[in-house]
Parts: sequence; structure tokens; C-alpha cells
Amino acid sequence: MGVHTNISDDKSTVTIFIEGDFNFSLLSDFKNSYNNNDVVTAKKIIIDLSGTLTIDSSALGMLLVLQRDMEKTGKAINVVNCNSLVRRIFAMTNLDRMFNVE
Amino acid sequence: MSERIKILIVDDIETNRSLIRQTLNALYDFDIVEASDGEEAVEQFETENPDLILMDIMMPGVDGCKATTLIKEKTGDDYTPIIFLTALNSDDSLVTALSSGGDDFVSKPYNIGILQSKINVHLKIRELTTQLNSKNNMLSRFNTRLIQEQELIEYFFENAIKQSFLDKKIVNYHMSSISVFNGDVMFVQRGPKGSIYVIVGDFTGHGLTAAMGTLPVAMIFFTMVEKGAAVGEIAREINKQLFKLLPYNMFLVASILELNSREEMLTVWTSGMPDGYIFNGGNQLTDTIYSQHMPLGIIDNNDFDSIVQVYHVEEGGKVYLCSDGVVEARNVSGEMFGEERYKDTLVDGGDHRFNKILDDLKLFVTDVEQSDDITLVELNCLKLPELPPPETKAISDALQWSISISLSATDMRKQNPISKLFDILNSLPSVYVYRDVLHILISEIYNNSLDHSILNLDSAIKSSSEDMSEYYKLRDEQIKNLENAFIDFNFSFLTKQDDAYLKIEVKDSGRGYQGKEQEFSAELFSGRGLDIIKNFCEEMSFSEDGSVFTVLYRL
Repeated sequence: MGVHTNISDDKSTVTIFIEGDFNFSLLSDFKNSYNNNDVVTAKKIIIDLSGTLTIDSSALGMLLVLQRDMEKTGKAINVVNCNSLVRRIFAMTNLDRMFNVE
Repeated sequence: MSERIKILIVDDIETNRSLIRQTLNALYDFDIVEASDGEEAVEQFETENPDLILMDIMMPGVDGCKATTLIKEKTGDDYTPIIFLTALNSDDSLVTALSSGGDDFVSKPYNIGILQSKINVHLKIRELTTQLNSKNNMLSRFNTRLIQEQELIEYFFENAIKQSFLDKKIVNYHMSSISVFNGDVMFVQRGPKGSIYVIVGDFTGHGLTAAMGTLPVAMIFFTMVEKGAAVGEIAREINKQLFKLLPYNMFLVASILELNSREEMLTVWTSGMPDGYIFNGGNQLTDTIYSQHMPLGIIDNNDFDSIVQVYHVEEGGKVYLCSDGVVEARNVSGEMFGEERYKDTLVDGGDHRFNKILDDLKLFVTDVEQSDDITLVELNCLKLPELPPPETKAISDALQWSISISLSATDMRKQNPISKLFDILNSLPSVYVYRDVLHILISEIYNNSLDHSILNLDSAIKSSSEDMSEYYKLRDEQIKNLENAFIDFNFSFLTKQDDAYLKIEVKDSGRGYQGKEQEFSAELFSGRGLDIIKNFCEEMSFSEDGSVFTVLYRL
């Protein structure tokens, strides 16, 4: 359960996996996953939610904060592998376009 | 034979009988009975049940040979030795006599030593034969019992396991085990929302000891699929139970998949299986499913990794899985069928690749005995008509119920305050299928109540990552100092015509909701909670004085 990070071999892509329920209890782990040097050099951030069961508004908030920070340095964020419930949540809060949800 | 040994002497001449009787009495402590002709000999045999018979051949009426034949017909499996006492001295006539059923002979005049040796030997043979027969009977009874027990076990397995959904349009499979009990596992079932769940696996070993493991796996799989559990959760639970139940050297390699044909998505948790292959509708290989994890039943739950892989599967596409019995099958020269050959056959096989694998495998192996259980599965990605939700028939019969749960300040200070609330709700069958949505709904309602009504925190603070941490730190402190706070939940299950609803009413000790139905834009870091609630629920309302917040969720 929790947050795992994977960095591509050429350091251009950072993938952050969230496992279990995505809510504010993961705040510090989530912050640590992108407040480090590897992310500074990467061009693309992927948030992989294949292991995520549920997502609440505090998690959406955390993603928005991430996005605002990454925008400053021109990095793109993609949210991938959502189950149907999670995708629905992004859609109903109109955040699916913002995060390029697939 | 705890009774005394009994010898029957048959001779028409009394003095002969008397002579033998005395000889025997001098040598042994046996019971002696006598007969003076063949007919009497047969009668004596039936009434006295002797252990050995000394038979004179030349007698008037029914002679020794005739009597011997008659007696031997009656002995069956038992060995009652008959030793001829004969004056015959030609080999031919002796052979003829013995062919009537006699076991040995002593020539007159007798050598006592020889008579004694022969009597001893034949009594010994009789004893051994009796023991042998007794053991055979025991084995025979034992075997019958074993067969009955095996039939019972087979019956038990059939009922526990044969719940699979095996529509040929969706699932094509071949399973052959090397013994009555299969150590390979293959179950298929539809989930409540229409996706197909499959588990294909292989226990260490084969036969009954391996098959024992299939029972808990079947129970867990079918129970969790019925509730629509996620693949990772099913893997975790199976691992937990097998870790508890199996000896340290037994485990299960398996692939657990959920094929959602509507969303063209395949979710997989797999460990230790040969590679799986995904083809698109045009018969092209699009993906390989590689094993990611340790086998099930080895790892403690805390170290267990339930991360899944997600693949795209086109409508009309197919997924192939097999157990290692397929790739490790050997031919006469000891060569293995192998992963390469398996993959190539699938790729070249076109539409009929499933049958081609089976044919090629049979040809490859020819007469070599199968050494492992073999399982091959083909899954078709086809959009199925929607299943009616499982509870529909029961709606009009369902009981209305309501549950009230009150959370105090102490509860709010706990690590995961609403998890106990979820445990209670999850135990209600009409609600369990919707637990993911309800989890989110109730979290939002709870946080809304706590943060805005009770604690009066301003969500606008949550707008940057430092501020977000500040916000939650502030929240934690305020929760620590809470006194006399409460959040009361009331859940009620209602039916209106053919629909079922869950009504959630929340009242808390805070300032309440006065005119809070505001529209929030996507820029603010607050209010999305209310968006989510509004979107999921049929109705949302506040009471007159703003103290009670009610939502209605359609099940």
C-alpha cells in the first residue's frame, strides 16, 4: 500500500504508482515522491493508478498541487490506468482533461 | 490356529490305521480321527475339519483318489494337505494318483522320519496359506474402503469447484491431469458488473496432495468474484490463506485476470506462469504477459505485492494462458516442447491456434507418458449483454433497515476513524457491491462535516503543497483538542417500486450548513467533495435549520 516511484533508464520519465486508497493519508509520501532531484531532470511525470482502488477530493487536491508545481518547470503530467470508478471521479469533477486521463 | 492340530487317517484296514495312529501319538500331541473308506473320508472332512489327511489309495468303493478329488473340490482357497499312503511303486501310477489332487505321498512300508518331515512341511504350508488368505482379505476390505473414500473426495471436489462459467463463446479450455486429482487450477466466473474473472494456476506437485490446495482457492475466488473484488485483492487473499494452510514447500503459481470487454481492459496479477499472450481481432500478437511476482503461499501478507498490470484488449481479441505442463512436455528424445515453439505455434496458428497447439503437442509427445498436469486456456474478448444486477429479483422482498453510527471526538482522533463504519456497512450484502463508491461518498461527507462544520477550517488554505501540509497539521492539532464533538450517521435501506436506495443522513455538532450550495470552480482546492457527492447521489438536501445533511444513493 502506498506510493512507489519508478524512473526510466534515460531519466526522462518518472512514474509514480499509487496503491490502495488515494487520500490525504498519502500526503507526505506523495510529496516526497516528486520533491527530489530525479523529478527535476525528468520531462514527463506519469501517475499510474492501476493499483488504486478509490480516490477522494483530498487526493484530487494533491494532484492539482503537483500539477501547479510542475507547470512552473514545463513538465507534463499524465494520469494512466484508472479503473472505471476513478475515471468517473475525474470526469465528474472536470479534472479529466486537466490531467490527460487515459 | 489356536486349536489342536487334527489329523484324519483314511485306510480300509484297521491294523494299518492303528499303526499310523500309534506312530503319530509317539511323535506329536495331535487329535486323530479316522475313516475306513472314501465316502467316510469325505464325511469326516466335513464334520471334523482336519488340518491334514493321510489317505490310503487302494480302497473298495470310493477309493483314495476319488475321495481326494471330492475333498479338494470343497477346500477352495484353504490348503488342506492330503498325503497318500501307498504301496504303488510305479512312477506312472503315482503321477496318476497325485493328479487326482493329492499333495504328496509316502510309500509303504513307511520310513517314520520321512513321514514326519512331510507332515511338518505340509502343516507349515497350511499355516502360511492361512496367514496369506487373511492378509488378502484385509487388503481387499481396505481397498474397498479406499475406493469409497476417493469417490467421496471426488464428489466434494466437484461441488466445490464446478462453479465455473464456461460459455464456449467466451472461454475455450483444455485440462488433462496425470492422476484422478488435478494439481492445476482453472476457474472462470462473471463479476457483478459483467467482467470475466479467470484464475489459471499450478500447485507444486500433483495428485491428491496438490489438489487439496484447489479447495481454498476455489472458495476464495468464487466468493470474491461474486462481490466484484479487484484482482489484486483476490491475489492478496489467496496468498494469505495459502500461506497459513500450506506446508512451507508448497505454493501456487498463478495468473489472476479480469477481462472487462466493455472497457477493452485486461487487469492481471501473475506469478511464475509461462508467458501469456494477447492477440487483437486481426490475429496479431499485441502483448506478452510476463510474470511479475512471487508465487502464492510463500510470502507473509505484509510483504505481499498486489500491484497489477493493465493491458488493452480489443473487442474480438484473444488472451492465451497455459500451465507449465504444456511448455515442459517432453518427447521421446527428452526435448521440451518449449516456450519458443509454444509462442510460434500461437502466432502461426491464426484463428485455429488453440486446436493447433493441442494437435502439435500431441504429435510432439507421441507415446511418451504425460508427466505433469496440462492446462491451456483461450479467452475471447466479446461484449456480453449486461447481466441484470444480482439483487433485482430480491428487491421487493428485501427488508428495509436502518443503522445509526455516532462518531465522538475520541473516534475522530483515531488513525482511520471511518474504517470501522465501513466494516459495518460492508457486511451488508445489498451494500457490499457498491462499497467503492460508498467509501468515497462517506469519506467526502465525513471530511466535509469535520473540516467545515465542526472545525471551521478554510479550504482555500489548501492551495499549495506547503500550505496543504500546514492545513493538515492544523487540522490534526484541532482534532486533538476537540471535546464534545460528534458526527451522527444514519443509514437506511429503502425500496421504492423496483429500485433500492441507501439514504445517508448526517448531523454534527458543528455550525451546520447554512446556504452552502455554492458552485465551485476547478481552480479552488475545495468543494470538489461536494461535486462528487452531488454527482453520485440522486438527491442531496439540507434540513431547514441546516443541521442535517441528507443524500440519497441509488443502489
